[in-house]
Amino acid sequence: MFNRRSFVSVSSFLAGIGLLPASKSAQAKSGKLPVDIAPRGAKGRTERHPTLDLESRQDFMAGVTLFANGELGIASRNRVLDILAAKKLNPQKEMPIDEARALFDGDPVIGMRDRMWHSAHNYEHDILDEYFHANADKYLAELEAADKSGPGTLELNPDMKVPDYTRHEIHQQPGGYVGNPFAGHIYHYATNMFYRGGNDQDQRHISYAAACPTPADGSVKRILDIGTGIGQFAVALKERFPDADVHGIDVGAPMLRYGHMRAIDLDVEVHFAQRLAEETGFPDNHFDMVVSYIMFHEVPAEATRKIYAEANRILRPGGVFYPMDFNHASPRNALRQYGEWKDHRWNNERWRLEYASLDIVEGMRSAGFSVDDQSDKKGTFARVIGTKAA
Amino acid sequence: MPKLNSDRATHTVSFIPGDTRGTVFLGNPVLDNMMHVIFAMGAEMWTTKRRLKIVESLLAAKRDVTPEAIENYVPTPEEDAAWTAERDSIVKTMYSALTQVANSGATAPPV
Repeated sequence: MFNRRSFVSVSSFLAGIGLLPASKSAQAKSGKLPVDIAPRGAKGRTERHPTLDLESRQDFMAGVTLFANGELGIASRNRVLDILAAKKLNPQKEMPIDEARALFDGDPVIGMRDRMWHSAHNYEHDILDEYFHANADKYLAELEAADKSGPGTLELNPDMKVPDYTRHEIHQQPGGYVGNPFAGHIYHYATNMFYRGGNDQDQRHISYAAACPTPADGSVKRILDIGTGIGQFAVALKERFPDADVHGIDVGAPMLRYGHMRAIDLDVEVHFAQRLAEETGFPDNHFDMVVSYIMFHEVPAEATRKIYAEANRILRPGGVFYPMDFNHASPRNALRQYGEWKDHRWNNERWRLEYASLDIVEGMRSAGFSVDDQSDKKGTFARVIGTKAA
Repeated sequence: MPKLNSDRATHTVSFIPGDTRGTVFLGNPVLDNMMHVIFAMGAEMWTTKRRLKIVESLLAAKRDVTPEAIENYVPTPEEDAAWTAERDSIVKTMYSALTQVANSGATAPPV
């Protein structure tokens, strides 16, 4: 049942911290969906879990993840530092991954932390996957009805050749982003757990959209979000730039379908299309801004170079390219490298190491951008801004 | 992948299955599986406890206690905060022992 008090408190919170103007705080349940399956209503911008037990199980795993990243995570990190100290190795230095694995794999505390995180992640994916498959018909009917509705549009391309590099079970999500009809549903609830309540009102995407660089002349008529997934960044950009046409493209049709349905529910007009970032099909000089949020670490280096070139082609002179992703400027050391390797290997982040090895600034320059690297060494994300020559 | 309970179009393509599900972090697959069971049992305990809290809240407010009222109950912000704090406390109580090797160093393997 929809609760007015939590509805108001969430939007007031976002407006209060300056992430959204009070009049622009979109909420789920706009009444625009032709078929709306939300048995337990919504909390602000997010539909509540379809059953109380799903919600409670996921809530517990959010607590487990918090512990795995908190108390147990600290113990695990301390164990790494203890091992390095015992071997008289400098913890600030880089280390080949084989050497790091020989030192750290098999340690009981490091292993227990990884087991806990891994189990929580798999468990919450599995319970969502099982629920939505068991209740597939009504949720697919909801998507079908939304596919043809607005505001905004959805373009699906059933004949599209989906590249192999996108067909992996990224983040261990069952079926990945292209092979599970409920990829969007699972991704949304699972990442809300991953963010441990810090993004269930799209707080992160709204704050990143607010910080997005714009062209020097201030003109923003068309924006493209590449690798848009379920469209949270695209929706937030439309809310920041209500007069602009905002587009989101992705290879994963199930992700786009969910994103489009959610944008309708929030009453935000975004145009979603199943297209390749390497070959978008948009005209030359078309967009004022081309952006992405944590897409590039899911992409191999060869495709990255093609996407940089395509972004340059479709941007108008003076347009801005802002590929937001993990920070290349942070100091590299054994702890970080081991963490990146584990994310790559055990969280099925197939291209994570390739991304870490790339020279992003040089790559963007080679594609024709003038590049302003504003990355802060302490930040999680890089801030590298490309501008197409005027 | 679970059985799909529908004949509707899925708009999916074939995917490349990952090989991470059987990962052994603790040196013995039985240990890894047991830990997974222990975490899952914690979730079942919390699920039951949360239902009980909802029933108590409905009774305290002298509202009807029906399956629908329980299922659709929306905790107040105060309840939400208190339940989250209790969840974190339970997780810590249940699983803090898992950090103790690092804290004592007594039984950790030689480094």
